[in-house]
Amino acid sequence: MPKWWWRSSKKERNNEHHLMTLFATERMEDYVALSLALVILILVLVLH
Amino acid sequence: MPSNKALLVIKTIPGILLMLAIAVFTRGASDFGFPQWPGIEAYFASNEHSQKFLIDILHLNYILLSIIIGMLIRNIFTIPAWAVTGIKTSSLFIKLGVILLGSMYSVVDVARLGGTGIIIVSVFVILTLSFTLWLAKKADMDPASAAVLSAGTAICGVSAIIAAAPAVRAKTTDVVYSIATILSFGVACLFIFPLVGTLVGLSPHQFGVWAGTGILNSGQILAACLTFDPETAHHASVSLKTGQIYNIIRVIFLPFVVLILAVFTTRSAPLEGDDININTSLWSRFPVFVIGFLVMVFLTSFGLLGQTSPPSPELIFIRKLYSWFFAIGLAGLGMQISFSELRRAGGKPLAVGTAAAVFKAVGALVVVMLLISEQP
Repeated sequence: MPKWWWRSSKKERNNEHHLMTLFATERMEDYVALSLALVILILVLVLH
Repeated sequence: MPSNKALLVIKTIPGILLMLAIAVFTRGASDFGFPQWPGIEAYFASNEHSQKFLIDILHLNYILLSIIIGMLIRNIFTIPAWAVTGIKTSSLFIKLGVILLGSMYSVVDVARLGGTGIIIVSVFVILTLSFTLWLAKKADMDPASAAVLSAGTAICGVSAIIAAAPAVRAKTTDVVYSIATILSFGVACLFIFPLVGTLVGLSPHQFGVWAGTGILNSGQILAACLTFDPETAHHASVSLKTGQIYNIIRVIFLPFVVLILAVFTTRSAPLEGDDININTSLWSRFPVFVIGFLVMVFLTSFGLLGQTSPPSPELIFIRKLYSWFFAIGLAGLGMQISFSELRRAGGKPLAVGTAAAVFKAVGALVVVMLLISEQP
């Protein structure tokens, strides 16, 4: 397997503790989840 | 900047595809129009001996297999750089799944399950919180460290620790030790809970009550319930339905417990200028995604998503969608479990946290076996 294909991230190599979330706060993640759920709901109701 | 956000969204795609690939490998691709690949679980089920030992006893179904594969990738190969951003969305998938899971309940279900749930969960939150704080005091832990650990054992694991940490002015090391302790116990629960549940003969509903009360972390409750009582296109998981209601009740307790812990640490080790604004603290810690779950319950109850029995095409589609969101999110959860981080757990936090978690798990099992009926 070529090295570039499975190159680990810098953080991983340093083996630092890090919490893996994309969002700065839990609240922000909640709002994104709510927005996506709303989009899904609208699409389901429109498509069916 | 919009272009940066668009770039970030694009960067999540490879990681999401990796989580999806793991989920498809274990769960099968028939939902995507490829019945030729029934999933690795189907291969275990095709042999009588592996079916009996791996699936019936060890409950090694697609959920547990996805988590194990994720853990192996993280700990043997490490996560590839191109997938890191996408894997960070795993908790978003789980939250999105929980919101859509609301379509499985009616208001009557929530009231029936929630009535008993509020009593059991509040008793266990208070008992575990008191027990952890008492044990931490006996072990001579500092108040902030004790407070984050007790939030993790009493409420919902990692999220509770993160929410409580700034309120109790915990040090980064307290947070790391507490998270490592909670996650270590959670990983053990994934395997032990379904096994014990089978050995003592719990029904799916009883298992949901036990897992929803006794397991510390939300993602692991979900995984254990789906491991014990897997969801299929023709069978809605009773364990998941019950366990998730208990989990949501527990999550709702979070802001109140954070506030109590903030008061406890302020009194134990006051600093100049300490004051607690109740309104700001309660709302700022409230997990707002729960509102989405409740909205889904109302929409389903009032027939806005079609009839519930037999389920409408809208409900069938949403049910399939959330089970895939859970499968993707839990594959990502496996990739978030790092053995090197778990090894950081040690000393007093590990001893106190494990004692509290075992106390809660065993206590919840006794209560379930004595008081909870087999059917909801």
